[in-house]
Amino acid sequence: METPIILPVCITIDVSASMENGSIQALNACLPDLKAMMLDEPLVAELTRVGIVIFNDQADQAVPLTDLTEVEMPQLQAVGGTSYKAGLEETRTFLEQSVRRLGANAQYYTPIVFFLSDGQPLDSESEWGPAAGALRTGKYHANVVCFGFDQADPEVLCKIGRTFLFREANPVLAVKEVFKTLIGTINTTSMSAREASGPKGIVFPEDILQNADLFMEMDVQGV
Amino acid sequence: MKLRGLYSNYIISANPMASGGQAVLFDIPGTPLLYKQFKGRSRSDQGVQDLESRLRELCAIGYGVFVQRRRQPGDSDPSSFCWPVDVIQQGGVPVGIVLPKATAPFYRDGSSRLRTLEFLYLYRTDPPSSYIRVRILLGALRAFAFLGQMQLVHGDVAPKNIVWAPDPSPRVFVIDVDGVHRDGAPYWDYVRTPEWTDPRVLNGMIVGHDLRSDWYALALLVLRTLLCSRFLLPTISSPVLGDLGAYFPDELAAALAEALGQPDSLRRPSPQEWSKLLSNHFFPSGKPNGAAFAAIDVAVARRRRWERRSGYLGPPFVELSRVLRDGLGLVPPHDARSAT
Repeated sequence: METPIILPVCITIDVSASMENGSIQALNACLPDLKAMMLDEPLVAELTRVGIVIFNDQADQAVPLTDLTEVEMPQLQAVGGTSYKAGLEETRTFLEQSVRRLGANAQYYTPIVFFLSDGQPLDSESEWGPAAGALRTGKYHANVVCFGFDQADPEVLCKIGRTFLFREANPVLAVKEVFKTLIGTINTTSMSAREASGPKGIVFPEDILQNADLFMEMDVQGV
Repeated sequence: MKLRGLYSNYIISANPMASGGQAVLFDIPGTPLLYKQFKGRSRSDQGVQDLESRLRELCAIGYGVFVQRRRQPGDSDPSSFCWPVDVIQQGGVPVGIVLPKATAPFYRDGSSRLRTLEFLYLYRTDPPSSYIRVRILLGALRAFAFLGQMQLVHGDVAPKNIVWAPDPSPRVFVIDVDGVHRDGAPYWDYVRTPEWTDPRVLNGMIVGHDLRSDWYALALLVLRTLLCSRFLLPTISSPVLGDLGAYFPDELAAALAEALGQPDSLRRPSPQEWSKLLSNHFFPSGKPNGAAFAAIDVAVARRRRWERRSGYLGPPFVELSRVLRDGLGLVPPHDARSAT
């Protein structure tokens, strides 16, 4: 008998002090929408397990990989600096631990990491670059999608993953669009993943690929 | 915006109600109708002609059922399908259809969301009682028996395409029917839904779903709805269905094995056969058989225990009470109310 294949998703969120401009409040308001989508789309919830990593100067796992319909979403605070190295390394640790916990015979699709940031890292590329590379390669590699907004540097994010820069000037509105896109992407990707012919990687909702007014996809460099 | 159809004119709302992969939906305010606008797709002249011809045929059915006979969605076998009642053309090419709206009982309580089939069988959605589930199944089987008698194929029997209502009497409404076509007739717009696809399509034996593909999906619906389980099957190769006897009485288990056990078999019970089997088992002499329903409830519990033990359900649920590093940015639960 065929056993279900899990789609692991990690949302890595910049919670540095710069997010205290309304962005963190918008994020806290949007997180429950992710759970609401899972409740509205039970077949997506069957397949997808989501976890949240947060980072500023350091990083930790705010929500372990789990069925989101069963948990309350956390409330986040904006504080501290921005270390991409901390966030990326913790994300890789998160994926390794999560996949091992699935069990020896478990099957899973290539994990997806959504990396959300509103600003520039305080650590140098020589520090976070190897962490970004390790996240994309190796035994527990992931498909990485970066959503940048406000003061995020697209040239930096492009070195981490496929990058979408949200052009909305108001960071609160940008966060809402980021989350709407993230939720839509989880939905379309998980539906596509259930195709008998196998997963095709990340499948973005149609409007993210057409709505140039809201965002701009950046050229990927070296990924 | 004004639209002119074959039978009438319509004024549709400016903003769409919903948008999917293949169409956009618009309300037609003040009417029990909505407009489904196809998303652009290039077709040959023959393709356009076939589409127009097929939609006209479906409209003739829909106009008769919903306009002339004034049926309500789901109140009869013919009206269990959301037949189009008009076709909108531009330059001689069909660009959309006018459909009856699903009525209030088909919406999930207190929401604007339709009660699709996942909410009938997935355990996580807190599905209705076995009595309601069986009544819904019987309604679906009757509807598809009617479709089969007309030699029509649905082609995409899947959760998102069928909605159901538990009351005032359990019934179904198949909301996506513009792909319905004559069994055996040339057809090119095949679609399919993961986990509901005929293995003969996956094996390459047939190009797209046919009448027996509908029957395959209906058998899946019976299995999943009775057991409240996603119950994945092997896509190709010999199935492992031996454990069905642990959940169902012999006759039901045998019918399910016949329908689903041999991927390339054409010997699949028809909707009429399923209807008779389920009615005889759950409503012998027309009255509910309490023992049969109780046995299904036990089977559901047994299946659920197995899914939890076997890891079938994925990673276990995890408590969120662990302590995070100081200064990280997580509001502790007891301070959540003071967070602004």
